[in-house]
Amino acid sequence: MINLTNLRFAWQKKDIIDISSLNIKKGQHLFIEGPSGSGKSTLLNLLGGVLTPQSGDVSILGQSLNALSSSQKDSFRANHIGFIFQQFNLIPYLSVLDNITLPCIFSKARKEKALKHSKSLNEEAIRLLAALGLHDSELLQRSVNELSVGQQQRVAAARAMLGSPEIIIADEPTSALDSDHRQGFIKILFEECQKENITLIFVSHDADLKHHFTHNINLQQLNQVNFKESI
Amino acid sequence: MAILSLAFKSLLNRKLTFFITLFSIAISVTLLLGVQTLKTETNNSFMKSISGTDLIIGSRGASSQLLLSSVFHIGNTTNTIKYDTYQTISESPAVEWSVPISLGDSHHGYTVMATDLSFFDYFSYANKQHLKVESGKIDDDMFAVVIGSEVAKKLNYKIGDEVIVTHGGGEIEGHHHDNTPYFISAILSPSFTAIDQSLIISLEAMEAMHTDNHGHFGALPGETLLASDHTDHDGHDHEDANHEEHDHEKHNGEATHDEHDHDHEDANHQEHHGGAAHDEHDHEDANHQEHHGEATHDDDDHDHANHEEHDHEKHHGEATHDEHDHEKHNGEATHDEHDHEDANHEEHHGEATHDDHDHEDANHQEHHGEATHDEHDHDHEDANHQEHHDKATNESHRDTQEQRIARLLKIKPDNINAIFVGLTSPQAVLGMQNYVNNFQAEPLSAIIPALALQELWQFFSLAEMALNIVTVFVVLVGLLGMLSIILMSLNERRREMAILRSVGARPGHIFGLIIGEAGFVCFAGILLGIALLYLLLLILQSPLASYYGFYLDINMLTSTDLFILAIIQISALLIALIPGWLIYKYSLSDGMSIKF
Repeated sequence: MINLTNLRFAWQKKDIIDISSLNIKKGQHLFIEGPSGSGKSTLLNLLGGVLTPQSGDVSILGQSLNALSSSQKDSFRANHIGFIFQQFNLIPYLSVLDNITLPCIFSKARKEKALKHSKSLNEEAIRLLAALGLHDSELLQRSVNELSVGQQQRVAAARAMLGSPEIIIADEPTSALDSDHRQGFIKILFEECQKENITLIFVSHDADLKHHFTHNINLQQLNQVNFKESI
Repeated sequence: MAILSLAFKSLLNRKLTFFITLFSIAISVTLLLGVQTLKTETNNSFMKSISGTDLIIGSRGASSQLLLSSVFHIGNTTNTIKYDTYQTISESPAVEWSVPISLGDSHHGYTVMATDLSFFDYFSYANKQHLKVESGKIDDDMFAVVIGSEVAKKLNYKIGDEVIVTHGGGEIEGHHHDNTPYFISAILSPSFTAIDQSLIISLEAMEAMHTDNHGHFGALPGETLLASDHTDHDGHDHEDANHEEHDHEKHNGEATHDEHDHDHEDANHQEHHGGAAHDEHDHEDANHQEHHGEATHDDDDHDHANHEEHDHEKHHGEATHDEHDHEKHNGEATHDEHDHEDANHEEHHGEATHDDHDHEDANHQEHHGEATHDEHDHDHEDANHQEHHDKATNESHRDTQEQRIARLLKIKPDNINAIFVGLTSPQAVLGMQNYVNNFQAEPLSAIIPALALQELWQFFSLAEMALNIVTVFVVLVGLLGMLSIILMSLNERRREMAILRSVGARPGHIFGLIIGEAGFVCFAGILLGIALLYLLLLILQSPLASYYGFYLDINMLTSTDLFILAIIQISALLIALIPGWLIYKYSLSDGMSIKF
């Protein structure tokens, strides 16, 4: 479903990514282990089509990203990938619901899919929040800045899942959480991805999380750029 | 459009900086539009200062000076032109009407303009509107003054108040014509022209106070002179001079002299038979003055005789009669006449009206160097006298001695400053202008008000330009303020942009977010600026009109204004290209992941 072939990316004449091959199957929950500075963020940007590789190709859902213009790549990302980041996932001036329904501004496809589940986008957002364990309707009135980090991450997860994208890429989504919340968050995320048959790519430097996943890759091994030398 | 709603929500999230930017743009827009409005309105009121007048004629010189002085009452008055010239021009067949204007005096810094009554009939401003009277009525009395609305308001004048005029324009006190006060007969409605700040008097009155002795017509027999007036006694010199001839004759021989005097008296007496007994008295006075020149007379007696009726009587009774013995020389007829004179004297005293004397004296002045009083003058005096009496009783105003003199003299002005001319047909303008410019009797120039106004307005173009440049810079500063605020917000918004990128926003969206924000702020600023402008205009309209005599017409925005606003809006969008481009680059390099 996701195929990386001879992917090379350099930033300011410095090689950052050099991956000869990677295949991720549909519905797979993949853990990519990589400490900071291992080219993690760059890889995610390449997967999302935000960065364009110098050579090689990323193919997602059979679509070669190289074949798309940058704005087509943006649309493609909007339609098919949901992202969850370490923190600051939410736009501070938007409400909780507006934050969740944000992808619908940029993706008609996800909007339509979301409306298959519920009558309105807000209803769908509330449904997802409830599924992620946020039942308190009082929460919706609050500014996103007033939410706890755990709540914020779940709101971010709800956004990533809204409109059922084929892929969710989570970049250290639990590193800001304490271990109890971490377990709970991963559990809920897995359940939801399972239910929607979403391919999950989970990137973290925390090797302890590995055991939750059926598949795992060490980015340092995968990436042929030797960071220890170059840094 | 969702991106614009995002931009709007983002703006609201930064309320403080948003409102500061909004207000800085609004204020600069208000200023710019305000200057535009002020410019248009100033131009309008400037161009409305005079209308319906085809030509303004003055002495040869700069047309702008003539326009400024005659229409705006600004600056030095131009050289004078002869009143005769006015009369000649007014008789020209192409001339439908003509109004003489004389300037040069002031009252508490307000211009005093002398003209005649036809001014109110013909002078018009704006869309051929004539001056309207607010209160009182325009009086053709020589010492009636019509005052502009602002003069009335500022100096708190009412109908019937007396005003004193200062020689020379401006605030600096010149010679006070305090011996010729005027009474206010009418107050004009505001016209928002220079007339509002003017006092309008008759040409005769202005001339009267400008005669050689500054309106101090001197003492008359029967009037008690103030000590301070003694300095003005020089004025009597020519009176005496008039009689030198007589004196001379008198000295040559009593008989001749007496006869002469007597004839003179007789002649006058007959002329004014039944009409004014005072005339006789006047002649007596003249005789008396003759005596004044004689060395044989007691000095004391003479002095008194010159100044006091009482002395005159005494003199009359004692010295003159004893010495010259009119009765003896003149025979019975004269004797009767003499009795008659005495009677008149008494009567005259009882009346306490000394106008006749005034006239007589005044005549002496007017007919400077003339030895004889002709019949015509006397008739004229009498006529004036009657007229004045009627008036004096009608008005509460009481004339001073000098005014009475001046009034009866009916002084014709020698010089005026300008003539407003209306022509029979507009086609005659150029021909008439040509005729005036080549006037034979004295160098004249004629200006076409509308053209001269346009020309004069060009003088202001530099100031206008400077004002324009300043306002443009103010707007620029407003926009630069917006730019710096957006630029400062960029760093903290990079994360926001990264999130948007992750959910599928294109760099173009991010760019649009910034441009949209700038465009929105600017548009809101313009709207607020327009609202502020009209609010200001509404607030300032009445104080400007009442305190500065400037009528600010509130109009819709002109197409020029809208054009300027469009330019501001476009400039804002263009300026936003800078942060737009920056954020575009950031979003490309940052991608979805910002870690800070």
